[in-house]
Amino acid sequence: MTPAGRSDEAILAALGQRDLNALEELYDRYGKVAYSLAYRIVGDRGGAEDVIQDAFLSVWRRAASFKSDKGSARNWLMSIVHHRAIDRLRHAASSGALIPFDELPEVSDESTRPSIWQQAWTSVRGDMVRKALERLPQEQKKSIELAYFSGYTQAEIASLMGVPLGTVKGRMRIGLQKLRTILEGSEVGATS
Amino acid sequence: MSEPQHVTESAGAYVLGALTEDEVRQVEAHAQECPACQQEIRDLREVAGVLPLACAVVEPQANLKTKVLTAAQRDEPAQQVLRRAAQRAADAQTLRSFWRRPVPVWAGVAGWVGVACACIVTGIFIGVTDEHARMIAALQAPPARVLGKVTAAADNAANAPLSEPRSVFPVSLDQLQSQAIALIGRSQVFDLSVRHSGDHIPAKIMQVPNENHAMLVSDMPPAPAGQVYRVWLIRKGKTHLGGIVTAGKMVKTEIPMKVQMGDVIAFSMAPLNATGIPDHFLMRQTL
Repeated sequence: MTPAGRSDEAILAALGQRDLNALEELYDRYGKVAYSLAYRIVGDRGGAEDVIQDAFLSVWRRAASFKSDKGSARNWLMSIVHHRAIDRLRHAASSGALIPFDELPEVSDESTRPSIWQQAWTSVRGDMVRKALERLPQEQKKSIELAYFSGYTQAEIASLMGVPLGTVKGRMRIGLQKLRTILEGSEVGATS
Repeated sequence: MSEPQHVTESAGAYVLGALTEDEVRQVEAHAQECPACQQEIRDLREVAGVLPLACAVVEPQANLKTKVLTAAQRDEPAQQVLRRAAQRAADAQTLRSFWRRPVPVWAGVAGWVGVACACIVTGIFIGVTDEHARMIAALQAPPARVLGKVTAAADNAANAPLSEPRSVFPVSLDQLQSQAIALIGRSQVFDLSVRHSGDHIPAKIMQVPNENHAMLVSDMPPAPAGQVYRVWLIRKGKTHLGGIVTAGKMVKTEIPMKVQMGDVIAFSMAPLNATGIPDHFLMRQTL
């Protein structure tokens, strides 16, 4: 389920026709979540803004090539944001400017005021996902977070955690499968 | 016949972005032929898709939305902009030639035929010539005149007046040849080429390890009279002038900064004596 309005796929179809209103609708729907993800990964506002601008511009240019059989539109957008942010993070890491993911500040800014309903919708879902992650065995949760939010490769995670590569692969895969099961048991399914 | 090597055990790492480029290629090559692994990846990708919701909510600045929409509004497929620029340049050239001196009718006809032939030959040349060889040739040629230089110590040199040359690279032919060999062999190469509907504008940026400059090799369509292309490097919100890019042939332009992943390379078109950062860019790509 998505917030009121046309479906994500309909928005992307409109984007394929260079409909700027559709881009605005997409930004209103996912801009904050996307920005939060970018900020969590890159760790600074300027970097997160660059990531979001690049990601939305990329969606604007490539919307016509989106294929819904490969996954949802929301996941497509988030995967673009994620890739851009991780690219930036890995570069920063190679320059010695890595900020540990669990030391990032949480920022509240009153500069924008989204609708109460949308805020609550996002907040409720976020709470459920965080709780679902907490229910995973610690090593599975850590492996997923190190990969997804901190940009470590599986080999780097194996080295950091001092376990064989196969163990890390298993933790990530089984952790995600378990996360799905937990979420399916809650009101927010992975595919909702 | 041996069983296919499934990649399901790497599917989690794949959707979380925890594989190296080689590993990604292996997984994708297999998954393309294996419905079971495709399904596994699709399922796990959906789960990974909810992870952004686990992030603490951070409000973006209010003007970010405007920036996103403005960038999209100004974004046109680069080749459309460049094609129009080339057309305007050709039109302007034709008009100037026509009004400046009287020419016999036969000469005018011959001229038009010549222009048409040149366009066709150029088109064929661009279409079929070995681009790599042309790039090597461009690398060995003397560098285009550089009117602006950006140094690490003067990050905001983009605002320096372009009409006042700040530096010309003193590079000998020997240096250029050895540089070309080094570039080909050791460079990190980023492809900025535009390919769309039969159009092809070659543009690559090469970064040699341990060098403080990068090399743009490009073949931009001719710019309108009085206008020049400039290449810009945008990093961490700061816009740096890379240099003026000669158009109409395959040339190299030295960019007096290292380029790196995450940099945005952009092209602008403006009068030669324009100063400052342009309001918008013709083409903008993230490395």
